[in-house]
Amino acid sequence: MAEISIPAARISVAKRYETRKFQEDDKKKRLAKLALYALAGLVIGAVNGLFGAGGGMLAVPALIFIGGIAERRAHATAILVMLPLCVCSGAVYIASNAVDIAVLAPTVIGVVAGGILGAKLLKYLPENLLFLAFNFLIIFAGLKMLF
Amino acid sequence: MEKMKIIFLILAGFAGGLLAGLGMGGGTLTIPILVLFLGVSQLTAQAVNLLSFVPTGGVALLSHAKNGMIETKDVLFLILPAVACCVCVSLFAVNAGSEVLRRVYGGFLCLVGIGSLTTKIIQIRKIGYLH
Repeated sequence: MAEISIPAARISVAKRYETRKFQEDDKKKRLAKLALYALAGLVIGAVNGLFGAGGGMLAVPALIFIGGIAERRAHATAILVMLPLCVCSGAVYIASNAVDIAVLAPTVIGVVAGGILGAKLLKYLPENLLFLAFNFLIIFAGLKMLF
Repeated sequence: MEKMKIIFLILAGFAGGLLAGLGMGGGTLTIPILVLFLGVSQLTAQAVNLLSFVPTGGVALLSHAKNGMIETKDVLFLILPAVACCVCVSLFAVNAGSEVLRRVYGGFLCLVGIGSLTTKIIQIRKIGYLH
């Protein structure tokens, strides 16, 4: 390799090489990220379609660990992910006559009201209590539904 | 009887929404409440839960968007495969029927609960304290 005797030129050649290497590494990282996103998307979509719930519980960690997004932003962005999913699977359910409007209407009213109150109460309740209560309820309900 | 059922449904929705607002897995507990306490079929409960998310999620999304809390970079790569898979799996679900789906959902809940507790226990062991 030709010896470049001017130190400044030597530095700039090295810098350009490093920048290019960083760019290639970044491209690989981005590809990996997008591939993992797509994989996670398939799983989230499958869970939402099969269970009508629970997609959010997978979407938040996916955004945090694959996307490197901060926790609060991930929770907000997860809603962006879940909304089209719910609309689409909801549409499939409607088209298959699975929706009873007599059940839907009162329940939605209750959910909206409860959601507003729940969000307000959230900051007053101890996190660990909520965590334990949630898991207890989930396992209890799960066992009841399983058998 | 009709009026009572409507009131119970509103209460059930309220309980589910309350739990969701408290960060307890969104609508995951709304479905068991409807199925176990109100005798709603699994498919109907799932459909109701999905559609209930649309107004609440929509409003929340607008609010978050105003505060700039929504990350849009690359998320399409998450959303598009999810939508495609979601439609296919939903079609499968409506054909599978409520009986099967109910048990599968029960199994799913158990897995989530056990997994969540296990992760927490591992986290406590690793770090030595709760957060």
